[in-house]
Amino acid sequence: MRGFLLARARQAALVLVAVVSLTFALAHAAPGDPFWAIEDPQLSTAERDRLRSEWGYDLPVWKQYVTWLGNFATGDFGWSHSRGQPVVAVLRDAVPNTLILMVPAVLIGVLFGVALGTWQAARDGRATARAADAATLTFVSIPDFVVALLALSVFALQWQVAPASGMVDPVFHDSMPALGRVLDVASHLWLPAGTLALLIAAAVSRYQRVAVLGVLHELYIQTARAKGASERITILRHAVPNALGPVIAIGGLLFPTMFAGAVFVEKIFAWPGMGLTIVDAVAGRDYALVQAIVVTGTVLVLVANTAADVIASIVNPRTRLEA
Amino acid sequence: MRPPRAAIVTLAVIVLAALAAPVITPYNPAAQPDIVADKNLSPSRAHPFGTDQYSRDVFSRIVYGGRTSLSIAGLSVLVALLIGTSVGAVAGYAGGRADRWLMRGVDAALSVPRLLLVLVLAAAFGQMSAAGLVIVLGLTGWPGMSRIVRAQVREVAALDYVLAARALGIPPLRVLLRHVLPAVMPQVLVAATLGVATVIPLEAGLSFLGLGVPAPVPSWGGILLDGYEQRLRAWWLLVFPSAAIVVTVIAVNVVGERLRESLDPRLRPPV
Amino acid sequence: MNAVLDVRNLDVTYAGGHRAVHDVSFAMAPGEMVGLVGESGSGKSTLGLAVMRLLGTRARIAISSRVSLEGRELLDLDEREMCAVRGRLMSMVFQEPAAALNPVMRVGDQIAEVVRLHGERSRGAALERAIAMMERAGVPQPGRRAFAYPHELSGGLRQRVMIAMALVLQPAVIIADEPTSALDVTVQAQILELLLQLQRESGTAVLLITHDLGIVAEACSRALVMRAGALVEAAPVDQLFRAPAHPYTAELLRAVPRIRKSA
Repeated sequence: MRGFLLARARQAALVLVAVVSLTFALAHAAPGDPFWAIEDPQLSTAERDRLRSEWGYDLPVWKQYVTWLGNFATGDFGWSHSRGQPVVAVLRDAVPNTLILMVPAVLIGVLFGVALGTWQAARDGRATARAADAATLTFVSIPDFVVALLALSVFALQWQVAPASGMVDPVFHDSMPALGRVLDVASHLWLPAGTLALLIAAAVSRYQRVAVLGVLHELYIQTARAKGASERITILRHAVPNALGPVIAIGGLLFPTMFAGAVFVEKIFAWPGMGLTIVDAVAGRDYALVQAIVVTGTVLVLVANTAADVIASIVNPRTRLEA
Repeated sequence: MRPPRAAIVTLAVIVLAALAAPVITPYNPAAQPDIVADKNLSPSRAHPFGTDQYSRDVFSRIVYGGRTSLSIAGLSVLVALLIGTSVGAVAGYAGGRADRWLMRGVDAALSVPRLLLVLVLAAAFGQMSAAGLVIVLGLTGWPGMSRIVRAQVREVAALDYVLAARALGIPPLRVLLRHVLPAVMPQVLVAATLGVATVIPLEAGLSFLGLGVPAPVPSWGGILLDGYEQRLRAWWLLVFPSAAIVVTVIAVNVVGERLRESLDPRLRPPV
Repeated sequence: MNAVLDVRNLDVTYAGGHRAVHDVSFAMAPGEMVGLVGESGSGKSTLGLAVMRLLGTRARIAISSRVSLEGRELLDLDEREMCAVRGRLMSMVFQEPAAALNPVMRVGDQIAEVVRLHGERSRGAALERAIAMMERAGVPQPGRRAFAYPHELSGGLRQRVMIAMALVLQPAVIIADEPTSALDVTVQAQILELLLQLQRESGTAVLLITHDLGIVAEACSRALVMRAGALVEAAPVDQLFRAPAHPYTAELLRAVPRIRKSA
């Protein structure tokens, strides 16, 4: 197990270096100067040149690259000119907010998706299962942001059962007692997280259905029935545990998609997480911030993937990693 | 295969409509005839899908938007297919070190959410033309494609008839092109089809964020952005482009899944 | 004869229209070991599955068919009642022990599951009975092996586990579908020996489905010959081998390669 985790950490480091290098290359390959202040019309040419050398942009490219890498490694992600703060400060607020949104959404979405997919496989061929299949197909075919728009329109704007934007009440939040603050966040959380969970559940259920159907053809399922196990027990105790392995592996590949979904949900519900931040940063051409968020997002995905692989190996005794 | 007639007919209608756009649209999608009087009209006989806040006819914009979205999706998948097949085939067939290193690169690329990669490129290059979008989407899509191709190539390359071809002394490139790839193509086609179904929402999402095709060119995501800005005042700006996207994506998904089913009988519903 | 299993006019048709079993009738006495012989596609496996009612929606059993176990008509039972029968009054052993065992469940638990499905509430007690049965089935160190996963056992051990699973509740009838075909030759003999021994000890009737006439000669007292879904001959084993009544049976016997001494 430890060897596995170490190998993964090493892999992750390489991926991150690749990502940082790529973004560096892009910044310099793109038209225009990567030095952001170039766009600021208020600076005189002399000022600009001075700042340029102060920030190191007049150094040879390879030197800039090494410094860049070094900075990233030490956690210095530069300055966010659209926010007027060090990038790290922006991340310190944005990242936990995204986690607050994504973690419940992913957990609920996966659970619900597994249950739904299993149910569909158990009733394969029957009218109800076919209807559910059509429903999930429709759902995954609707772009994430459209689902979020619909949710916003119906629940927040039309029926007004949820606040239309933000994570906290803009006026009163800070003056609330601790429990009040938690409830405030929760009341803002349920709709965006619920929307995201729904999107995840639809996608997961489709994979789960296919996985369970695949397993139901195996001989040990017939053995279970021959032992006198009811259809329900056969599916729950024999089919599902065997189907989970492949689903978790596929689920690992879904994390990037889930993250993208979160980006749109955050934008539409104005949830102040990484997604909203990066969208605004792109619009404001705040390259340093965009970079940092891409790197952080990648880290999150890598961690989630590793966790998923560990869980998958636990579920399947043949591939279990000894501690 | 159970031919998905409804889906194919739907797609045919959509594609034909997109091709015949100048003929079937009553108005110029960019024309803003009367911003004051004709702004935000709800659907009527004159404007079956209503007008937007600039008095542009929504139906025409959606038909032309279909042109934009479909061509961008189709071309970018083609780009991803070409690059992905090349990389995947080489990795899968050559094996060994080339395979390991290529796949490490691919896995690294796949660790980054595609949307984020696109956003980075958008941040670097600013407002992109349609061609730029095709390239960006294609470049972010080929890693996924290459994994599928590699897996298929590996499977096929282990089959006896390929070994026989190699034993006959046929040069490896020829074996790959004439014997392995044709057998791999069906699954790749499935992946490409499903890939189109993934790109359409992605492109729409980008347009929604204001990062897609530049403003005067109509796109489904762009119309949705107008709808979002108008909130509840113009439901037709949300409903019709959403319906267009959903119907197209479902149709493509159905075709792709039927294709996949025809290759793996276990996935078919019981008789 | 007081038949423990009485099959009459069994007719099974698959969903695509293929009639796999044509009007087959036979009976088994308690404790009898009957061989069901036939080539691939003769319908013998389908017959076994049909008697256990494991065919599900894939195939239809004709209304005129009758299958009675210890006097009880099985085809009249609903699914829940049938579940109570399977594993307890009648059980099945499959051909491929590697594929027939749940890969993510320990073998002891899989045997114990049979016990718990039919009334035993205590997990510990069920596991004990499972281990005891494993011992009777000739699994060395059953206490330890019970905690192994199927992939950790050899083919022969896996089949012993399957047999233990089928016998633990001492059913009246076991249907063994090619129980030795997937095993190495040396192991085949052991497993056959085990089946015979356990069958004698517990008085279970066994329907041994096989394509191997050698096994029939060794182990069975009576044999049924199937061809293209129909039962062409049924006779005590020595009679079958000495004087086959049906030309197909004669053909089968002739097809067995014989090693002749020269001259």
